[in-house]
Amino acid sequence: MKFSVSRGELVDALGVVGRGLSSRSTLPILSGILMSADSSGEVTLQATDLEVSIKETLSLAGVERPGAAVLPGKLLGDIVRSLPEAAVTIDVDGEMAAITCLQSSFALRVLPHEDFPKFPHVESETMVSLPAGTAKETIKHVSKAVSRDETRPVLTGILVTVEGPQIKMVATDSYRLAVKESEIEGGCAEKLEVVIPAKVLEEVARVSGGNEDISLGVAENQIVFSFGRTVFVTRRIDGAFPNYRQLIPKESETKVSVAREELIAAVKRVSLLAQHNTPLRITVRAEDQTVSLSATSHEVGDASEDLMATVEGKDVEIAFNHVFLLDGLAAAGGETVDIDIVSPLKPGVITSPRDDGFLYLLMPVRLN
Amino acid sequence: MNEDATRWIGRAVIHLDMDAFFAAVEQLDDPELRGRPVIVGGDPKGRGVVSTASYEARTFGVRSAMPSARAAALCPDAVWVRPRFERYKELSDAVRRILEAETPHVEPASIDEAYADITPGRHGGEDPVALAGRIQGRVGALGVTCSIGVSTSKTVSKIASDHDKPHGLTVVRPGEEAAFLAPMPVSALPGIGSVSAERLAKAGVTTLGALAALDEHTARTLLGSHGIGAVQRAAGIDERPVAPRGDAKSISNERTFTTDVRSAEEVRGAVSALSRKVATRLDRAALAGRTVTLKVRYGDFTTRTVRRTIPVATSDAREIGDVVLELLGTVWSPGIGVRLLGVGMSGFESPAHQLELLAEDTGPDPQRAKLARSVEAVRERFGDGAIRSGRSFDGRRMP
Repeated sequence: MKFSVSRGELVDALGVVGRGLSSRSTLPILSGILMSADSSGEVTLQATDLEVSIKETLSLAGVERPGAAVLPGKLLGDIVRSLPEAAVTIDVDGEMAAITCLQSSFALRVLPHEDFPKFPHVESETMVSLPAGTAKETIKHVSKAVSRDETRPVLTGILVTVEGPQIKMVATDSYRLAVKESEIEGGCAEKLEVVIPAKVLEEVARVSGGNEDISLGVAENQIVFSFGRTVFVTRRIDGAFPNYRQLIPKESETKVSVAREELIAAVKRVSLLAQHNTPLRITVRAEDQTVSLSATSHEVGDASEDLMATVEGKDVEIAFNHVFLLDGLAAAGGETVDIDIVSPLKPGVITSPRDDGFLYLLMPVRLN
Repeated sequence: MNEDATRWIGRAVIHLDMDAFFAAVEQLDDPELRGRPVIVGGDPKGRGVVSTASYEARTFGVRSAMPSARAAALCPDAVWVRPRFERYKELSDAVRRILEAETPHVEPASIDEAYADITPGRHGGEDPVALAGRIQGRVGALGVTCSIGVSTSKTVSKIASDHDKPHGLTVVRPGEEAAFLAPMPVSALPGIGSVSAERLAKAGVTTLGALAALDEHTARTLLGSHGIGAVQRAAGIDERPVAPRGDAKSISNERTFTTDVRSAEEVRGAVSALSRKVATRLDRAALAGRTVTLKVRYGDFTTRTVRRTIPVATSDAREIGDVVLELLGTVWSPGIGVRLLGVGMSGFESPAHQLELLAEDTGPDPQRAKLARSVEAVRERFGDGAIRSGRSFDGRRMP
């Protein structure tokens, strides 16, 4: 195999495919990137960790001799990034690959490409097309609520629902739950509901350009994303996503409306004394129209701060994990946020008056 | 009636045992559950286990510690409830206060049972049977029921409280202990597990009467160093005092290995399992600790104890496990033989508890807690070596 391509294009492609490299040392072949050049002049790069497979096609490569080879992925990336901006030639002969660019040349031992897992072929049953910008924006609102706990795999995913003109994403780690609904420009003919591994969805959002359309295909066991010259294939997450609708309180005893940036700044200050997981206490007083934040760290000290707010309903005292609270306030966006509270033991609901597609549910910390 | 004929002579100890406690609390709190089969425990669709079944559910054959799926098959109409230990603790405390109103000599044995010494003349002068009846009535007024055994010792009262459940009051008067115990199977005696019972059965000893008649040598041969004590208790002789426990200062679990373990997998696996047990017991007691202790006894019997205090009290198995594994790295490297591992928590504070949105798979595992309690009870009585996990016998991986 021999082909040449500009250093810039190769860096970009390796940057995308490199995200699929496996860190598991048990299967050395998975630390490699498969490069294939066919007789039609197309060059593709592939990587997989067996969970996610990524394929990127180079647009402007010149193929001199078709073939395939697996090169050590991380080293290849480091080498190509270090090269000057010029044409890079990769020439594989037998067990060695020569990488040359102007006066620089490297010879790398190749890995046996016959051992490289075949790129999964997916027959999508449903296919939708999403503007990458909308997808990114929607993901951003819910990604903090995704669980990192692998013992409940379904919660490490984001529930994605596409119906008519709307895309909805839901994530929960069982302590908080985020829902974001966005309009898809031009709408979407197909209906779809699928739990997608959050890590993959975030990677896709990171890699795709803002103006591209991401095509999302769903098969029985797999999900395929294609955009530009990139294809991502990932396994679907087994298990039913919790019925989140029933978790959302129907009513509210106390409604607080407060300037978002001010609240975030106050929470950050007071949380300095809510070290580790000690809760942040929130006292809402309707008569004073105030929200008081306080925190105490055992054997360290305490902090408190009062904020003006619009309060409707009953006085209440509730406590939250400050990190969870900040995540919700950050995701809400807008100048003000609304916080609805039913009771100190029921979830609080953060919404944004400007964005009726967003909702963040947050379980309190029970005080003793 | 001649008062002298019924006067209680000697010590009087009661054992109070709540009837289907967790289920009864659920039925108390939710009137809709009353009269219906209620099962407190893990998800019937998952791999949970029954923690407590109400008496209505027990008529279907549902028992504690049974896999939830099996219970669901036996009793398809059962109402399933997730355990709420804090609420059970509240009622358990209320019951303890009822006992403490009558005598300072109260020894809680677990969340749903307690001993009390009500010897006439020791604190009050009231007849023990009348007093036990009054206690039973006051517990009933809380909305839950209990069964009480009254006798001269802890062992006999414990067996008696189980004699006529639910809502039983079983009195074994002074001098009647041996006769009461004699026809009972040996397994009725606390501390005689299935292995001991089997060994006794092979020697032709199936009843407590037969056990009580064993000579010292045979008892020692069959039951080891605990044999003599077991024979005495089978005869109704048990001098152990009712000892009010101070609040626990620490909770710990240990595991002794029959052959030294050396591999990272085994040792790390064992300390993780110990961390989970300690976490479960903390949850059960509604406690959280700040000081994590790891004890390692090496193959040469030298022992190292290391501890670390974390900033915030926890009862979370993973948090405890993480600290323990860090501590492990400071005193042990793979390849070094280990005889015993222990994990402990102290420096208790009440935990601020992050509540969960999804009830599924949350909270401590009642089965594990129950197992840990039973194992602990056996070890307290018979020593560390008396009961061991299967892991230490065949080195197989624990789930």
